[in-house]
Amino acid sequence: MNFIIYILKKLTYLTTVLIGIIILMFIIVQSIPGDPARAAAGPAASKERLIEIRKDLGLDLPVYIQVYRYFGRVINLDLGKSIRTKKDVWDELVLYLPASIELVVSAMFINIFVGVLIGIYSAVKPRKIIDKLSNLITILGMGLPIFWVGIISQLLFYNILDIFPYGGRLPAGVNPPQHQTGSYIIDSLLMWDLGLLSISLHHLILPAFIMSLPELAVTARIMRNSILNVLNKDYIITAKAKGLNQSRILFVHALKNAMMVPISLFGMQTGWILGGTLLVESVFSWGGLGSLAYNAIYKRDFPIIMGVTLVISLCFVLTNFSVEIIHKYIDKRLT
Amino acid sequence: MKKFRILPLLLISSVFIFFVCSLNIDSNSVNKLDSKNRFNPPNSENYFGTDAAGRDVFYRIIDGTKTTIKIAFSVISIALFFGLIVGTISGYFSGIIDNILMWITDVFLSFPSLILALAINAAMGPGINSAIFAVGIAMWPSYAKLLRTSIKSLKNEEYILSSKAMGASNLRVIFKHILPNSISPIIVQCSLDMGYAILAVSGLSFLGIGAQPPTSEWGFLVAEGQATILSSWWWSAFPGIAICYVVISFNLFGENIRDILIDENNG
Repeated sequence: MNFIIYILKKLTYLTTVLIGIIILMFIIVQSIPGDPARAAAGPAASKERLIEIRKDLGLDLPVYIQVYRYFGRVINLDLGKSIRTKKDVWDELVLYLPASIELVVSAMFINIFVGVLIGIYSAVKPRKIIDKLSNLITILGMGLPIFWVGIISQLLFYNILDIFPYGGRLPAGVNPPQHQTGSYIIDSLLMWDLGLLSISLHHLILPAFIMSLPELAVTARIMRNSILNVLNKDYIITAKAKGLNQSRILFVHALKNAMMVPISLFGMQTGWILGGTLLVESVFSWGGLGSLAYNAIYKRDFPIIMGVTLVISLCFVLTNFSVEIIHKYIDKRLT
Repeated sequence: MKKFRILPLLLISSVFIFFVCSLNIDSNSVNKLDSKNRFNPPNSENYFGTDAAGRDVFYRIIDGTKTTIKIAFSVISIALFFGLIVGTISGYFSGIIDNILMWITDVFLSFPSLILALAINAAMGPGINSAIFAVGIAMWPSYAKLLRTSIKSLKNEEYILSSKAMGASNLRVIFKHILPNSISPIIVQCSLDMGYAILAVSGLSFLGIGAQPPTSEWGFLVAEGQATILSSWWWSAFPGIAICYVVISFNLFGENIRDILIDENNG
């Protein structure tokens, strides 16, 4: 029962934060220099025509009514039209979103899986080579500009070693699988086209790994310290005294508790990785939201930039919310 | 009592030396075009090679140090300014003001900081100053939260209560007693955030809305060299190493400061 009340409380707060996000977006849109009526009417329009358009767009209304109308538009998914392609912004976002989700989820998967494994290993064998190496990677990982790592890895893995493709989601001339979810991995699995699946995976690995790199180091560090912390607890010492073997203690008793700290971190990390898509996608021409935003920047295509901002922050808020709920749920079972 | 470690000190002083050198370099002469020496690979004359316009990459990187240092300090100052105001008010006065300010802080925190910075930067128009402002605005909430927590814990300390009982005004209590005593976590956060500030602004410059030509900002240099990375790798590679070097220097120095200050507070 307490758990349901907790979720309801969180949901209420989530709603108020979402309202805040839309208000903040409204403020940012307002601060774009230039007159939107003038932009819509064209440079040759007469004064009367401008006043007319201003009325049509609702620019003559008081600010709070404008905010209210903006809300209505956002809720109806009416984010305006792209200046560059003249298409509906929401349609564009829906088209590009799956590619980004595919990349972010893969990066998170690598982050969690590899990070936790390195963390466990360096906790079991502290001060050995892997532990020292992961310490070094942590320092490097937090200092590396990922856009640069992307470019250098293209040079290294494409040009010199020739084991990964240069960029893109598929090589030129290969048709993407029939559009069902938009994720090439899932779509080619649904069609059971294993050749296509392996090609898409081959293109996915490098950008996903690079995106996970800064977070991977943090996960490994935190996992290591969390396990070392748990291993000193009384119940683990009891388990040892009972004569349970090492791996059973580690995987059954210690890991369950030690995972709590990294789990609460994963929500924040999704945010950083979502921010990283902007940079990595533009390096690898990944055709997701990041590439969409990158192309929009040059054309000063504000509706698209604002749309991308809104969608990414929504993804972030919802992920954080789910992580909090999961964390609470596991916590409840443990205590 | 922990001391300054030798490696972070060495790194940070070398960054400082580069900064002083960059102040003595004339940006115009660095950016002078030289059509005879285009795409020279690294050699004894051009240590890091030359770019498509024949400019020496090594000198452009040195020249860019002043921009980088400016970025680090300006971003942190902006974040600190807003963070201090919001954090102090919301920590000192509880109730409805506190709730509203924390709600605003949470709204800002619900954007990935690079995404929020992108939106603000795009709206303000391209340029290094708007990129700095945008990243600063995206970073203040963590300072506000930090300060609020430490003020809330200080507020009921006896010396604060007694100074209030003696009739000290709110402003006097805040500036004379509360801020000086909650400053060390803030200093730690500042020194740890400098590296991130540099990474974020150089990311925006890389995307084309931060530094504009002919600034020798490092993220921008990486972007410039990206198109020819397969034939002349030095143009992108060295500026990236420079970013890495400075960010790691700031990070290690920040961690060192954290160890010292936290150690001091605990004993």
